[in-house]
Amino acid sequence: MVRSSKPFLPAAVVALAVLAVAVVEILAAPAERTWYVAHVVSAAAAAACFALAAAGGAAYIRTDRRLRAKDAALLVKRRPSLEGLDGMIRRLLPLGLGLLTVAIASGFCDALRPSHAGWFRIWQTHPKMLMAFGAWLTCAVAMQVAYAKRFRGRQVAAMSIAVFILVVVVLLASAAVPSEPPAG
Amino acid sequence: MSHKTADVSLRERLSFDPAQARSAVGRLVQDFGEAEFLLLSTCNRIELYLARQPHAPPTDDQMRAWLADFHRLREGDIREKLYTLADSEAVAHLLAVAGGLDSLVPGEPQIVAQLKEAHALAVELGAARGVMGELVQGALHAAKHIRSETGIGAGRTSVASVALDFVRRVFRTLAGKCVLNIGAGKMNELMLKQLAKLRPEQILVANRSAEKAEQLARSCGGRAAGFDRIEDHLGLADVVLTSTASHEPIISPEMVRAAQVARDYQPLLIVDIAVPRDVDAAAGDIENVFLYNIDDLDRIVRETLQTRRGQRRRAENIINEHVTALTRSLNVRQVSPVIDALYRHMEKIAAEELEGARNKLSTHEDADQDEQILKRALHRTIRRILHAPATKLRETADPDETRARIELIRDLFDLDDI
Repeated sequence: MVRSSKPFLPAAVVALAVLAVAVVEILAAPAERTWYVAHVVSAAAAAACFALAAAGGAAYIRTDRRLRAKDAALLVKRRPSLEGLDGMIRRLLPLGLGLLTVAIASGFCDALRPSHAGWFRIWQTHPKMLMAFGAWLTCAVAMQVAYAKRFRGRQVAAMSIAVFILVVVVLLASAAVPSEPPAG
Repeated sequence: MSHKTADVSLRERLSFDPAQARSAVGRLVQDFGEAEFLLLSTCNRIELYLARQPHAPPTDDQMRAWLADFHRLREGDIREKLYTLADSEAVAHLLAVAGGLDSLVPGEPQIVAQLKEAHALAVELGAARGVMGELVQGALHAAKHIRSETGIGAGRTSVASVALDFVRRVFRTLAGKCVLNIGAGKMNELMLKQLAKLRPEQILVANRSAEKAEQLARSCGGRAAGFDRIEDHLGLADVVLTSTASHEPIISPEMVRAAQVARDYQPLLIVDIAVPRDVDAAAGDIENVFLYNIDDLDRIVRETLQTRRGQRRRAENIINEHVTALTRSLNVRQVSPVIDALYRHMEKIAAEELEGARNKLSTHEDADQDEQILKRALHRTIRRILHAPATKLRETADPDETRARIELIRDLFDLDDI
């Protein structure tokens, strides 16, 4: 029997889970925190994009390996082509980066509102800010590399997986750092 | 007659082209109107399916003679190559044919369309009515079941189609792509025509003989390219198909690497079906280059055929299930008129008896009620008497036994008008 690979299924589950968390955050947020809402929504959407791109990357690497191994089972069922997967990754990565940019910008605006300005006074060294900028910079460099002519196929696919892992780590770490100043 | 019993030269003489098939079926309806016919004529078989009452015309000998006569052949020349099957064996054979088990290449799908076409013609000319329709529908249903439950139709069974599948796995579409063909042999032509169906933007044909390159290019909507400029053409191509008579590789890894640099390392698929190979095997190790030679494609075809053969037993089990159900259903069709006639006969007797008894019934005011009571009692009596034999007739699986019982009932109850 042919083992069917469904990398998109776990990716879709991750994307939906992230969006679900975002919806909960939005519903729980006070009315005046528009920037916060924008931040959460765009961060979740960015994570979803990177999740799908990573799934595409995993599928690409697997298909590439099986093509090189001349695996007949690959031909039995209809599957996305390498070109199709590559195109999908290349559309999702910049979209994800764009959303991540919106997330960081809106998070920055939310962080610097008057009631919290003291907390983020030295925002340049705040862990959340640093992690966010670091992630953004890494993704932006990765994007430049992905669109450099030398890199095709497997490299871009591997990069999409690395970007997703990085974004997830940053999201989790960022969630662990308090966003609100301590009481008193 | 099929590829199993006769070679292609004899099958050619007995086959029916569309016009002949139409004429033949029309003549069969004219000559033997009571029976139903289905004529299936393909490159691998010529089969005539026949549904008739027991001992009714046409007989097997009449059909053999008819077939020989239609094609102006001597019956003796074809008699030994023809096979005759009856009842459940014939049903099982039709299901096996529809499921692709009896094909030259197991699991080939064209037979389903051919069967539908044959049936459509038979229906149009009045040769196929209830029984044949049920049989064909049962065969198509079994074929669908076989293909969905087993791997008998999975995979590709020709080198060209396997190569095409690899193209589809690498490229979403060939629109905007370039195909480079090197060589002008039969395999090149066959595979290039398959690739042309995917509508690449450009097809280049390179061959030592410029004239042959031109000819092949014209036949598939491409243009001839210089054989001495293969390196340049490689820089444009997304798919390369090569099969020359060269004793040494004509494409080296360096050429492919240079082409990839020029192409920004876009995916490159190379199908090398030459023996000895035209492309150095090391070229397949370059990033985003996928190289397949004739051995790779042949191996996949062999594996596919082996897999299909391995599915045979499962397919046969499915066929057996369908044969039992279909035979039972056809039997019910056969016995229903007899059972109806038996009931009518009994009801007629009951009505006559009731008529006779009415005169002897009392004439008091409840006489009508008495009559109704008697009528219902007679009706119930008939139903109870005939329930068991009718049920057993319907459930008889063996066609011979069914026929024997029908004859017996007709004889015993004098049901001549069935």
